[in-house]
Amino acid sequence: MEFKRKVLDGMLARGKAAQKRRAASTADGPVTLEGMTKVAGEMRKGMKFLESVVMMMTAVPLDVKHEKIVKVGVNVDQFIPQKPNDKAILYIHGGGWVVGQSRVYLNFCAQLARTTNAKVFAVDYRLAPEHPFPAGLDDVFAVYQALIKDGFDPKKIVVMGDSAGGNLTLALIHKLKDEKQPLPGAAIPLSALTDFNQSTESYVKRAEIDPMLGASSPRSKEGLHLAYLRGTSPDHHLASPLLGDLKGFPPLLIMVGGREVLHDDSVLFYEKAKKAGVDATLDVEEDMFHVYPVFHDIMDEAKVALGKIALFIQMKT
Amino acid sequence: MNIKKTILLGMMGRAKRGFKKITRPAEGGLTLEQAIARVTPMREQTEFGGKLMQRVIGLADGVRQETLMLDGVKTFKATPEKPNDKAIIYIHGGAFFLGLMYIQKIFASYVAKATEATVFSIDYRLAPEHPFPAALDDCFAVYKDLLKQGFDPKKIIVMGDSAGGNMTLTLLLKLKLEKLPLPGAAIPLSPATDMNYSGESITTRADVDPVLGFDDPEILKYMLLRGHSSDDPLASPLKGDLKGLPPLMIMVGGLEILYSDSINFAEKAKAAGVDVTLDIEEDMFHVYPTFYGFLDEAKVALGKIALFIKMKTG
Repeated sequence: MEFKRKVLDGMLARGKAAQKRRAASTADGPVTLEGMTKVAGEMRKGMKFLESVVMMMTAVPLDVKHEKIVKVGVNVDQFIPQKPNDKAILYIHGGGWVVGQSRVYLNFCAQLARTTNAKVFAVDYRLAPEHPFPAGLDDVFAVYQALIKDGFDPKKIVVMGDSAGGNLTLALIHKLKDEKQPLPGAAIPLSALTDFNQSTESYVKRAEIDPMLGASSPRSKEGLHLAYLRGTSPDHHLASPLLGDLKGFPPLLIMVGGREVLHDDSVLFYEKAKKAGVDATLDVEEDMFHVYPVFHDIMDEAKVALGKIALFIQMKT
Repeated sequence: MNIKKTILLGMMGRAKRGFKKITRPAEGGLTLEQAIARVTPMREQTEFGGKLMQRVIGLADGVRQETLMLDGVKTFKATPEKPNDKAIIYIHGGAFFLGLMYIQKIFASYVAKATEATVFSIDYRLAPEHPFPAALDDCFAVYKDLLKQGFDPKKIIVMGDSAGGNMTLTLLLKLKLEKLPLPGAAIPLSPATDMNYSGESITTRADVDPVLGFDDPEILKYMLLRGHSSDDPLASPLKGDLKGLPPLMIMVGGLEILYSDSINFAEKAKAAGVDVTLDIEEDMFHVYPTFYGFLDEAKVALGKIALFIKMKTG
């Protein structure tokens, strides 16, 4: 195994251990908003550390222009390749709804831009617990509409995101359908959480082999619901996109690893989408873990995944 | 630029000089002996270079390698840990006269790993000792053997680079001619589609191509075709009737003299109603996807190949 991969594995193990510690801890008494704010602070600090390690191991390409801009009041990281085509990728980062846009994504978004020749807009949406559901979704929705206003043909827009961002990718499509807005040309959820009930088999069966995320405990579930949903039902289709009507969804490339508790969230979404007549493709990499395509420059598998993403965008938009 | 890419480009530069030397004009034509004498040093060098590459890059983990005879044709079989029901026929490049056994084994192993298909790389007979259509006949024999083994043709993918990209396409035309079932998809990488070397890029991109260069293409024609017409669609697939071909993904670099061969073929196939995906990497060179381990772009290309196979063959 390559050195960089070993470093990454070490980082992930550290994150999982912290998560386990929190899930087991009953010393703090019942789950409270205050407690969740503290947890969010710890997770943000952990992400800062991961960020610095990832930055040391990656070479962000210099031929892509990166700029921080503000679109309709939302912070956006914009990536423009040397010869941009007429496509836009709306990228929605992960981080459990509580961690913000970080430099972990800098290299991935830049590679995405130079490989697809599309302009990439990574949204730094508002976070829980300070801004619960549907604040993040509203921000993503606003930026999508702003892209159309900028002149992008919706058929040339690809919505894509990982983990919580994969959830928001699919929720955004529901919201666009609800509001009778034009849908994007394609969507690519990576390791998406599609159901807040968190009751699939893979939460149990794959918890041990998942190097990043652990099993869901009643306490962790309650905490996430409190932090993000804040009283909205986990059955709401804009929170749990699996539970909505998937008819009319655009072509989907659903990517997930085999070593993750969220495996079934992707598989179930794929099966339901297929039944609803959606042009869906499921890509499962059995040996890979949560959001692995993001770690470009660290793992060869992420480079292969980028090729899949690029070809899918070329074929569907 | 990373060190591996630098090494690769060094090797490519040597190959270009080799191709130029082999195709230097011959007054009054070549005898077979003279032709063999011309290609022999380059064959030795590529064997040495191929062994070195296999050492440096290594084969993909968990992929089993076997050497088989399929209907009398030597074939390298690469089987992934959990093979699915798909078979990929891989036809290597080398201007029809180089046997790139070591290099093709590396790429085939990563293709097997990424697609979970079983890959059969054909060690077909080479020109000038075995001129047209010996190599194509070998590929045809292996395809028929896979059908006999029970592979569903819709789950067979034919793929090849350069001269092997040519035979990927001519194999399809031959299967049509012989009224045999066509494969589910085909992926030619930087194919030579016209043995008349009439594509515009043969001259316009000659200087930017770091790999290929021919002084007198007639020499190549002589070695392969030995007087057979270069307008035969089984030699120049661009001249064929492309109706009814399976889904194609044609991959080509911008820095190559065979650029037009891909563009022209894609246009003609599209006009014939074929489901064609054309993937151009402007900054890349001849058969770059085969250099897994040397180039990040080859890893990205492998992802495209894997997803294309999944989308077109279920």
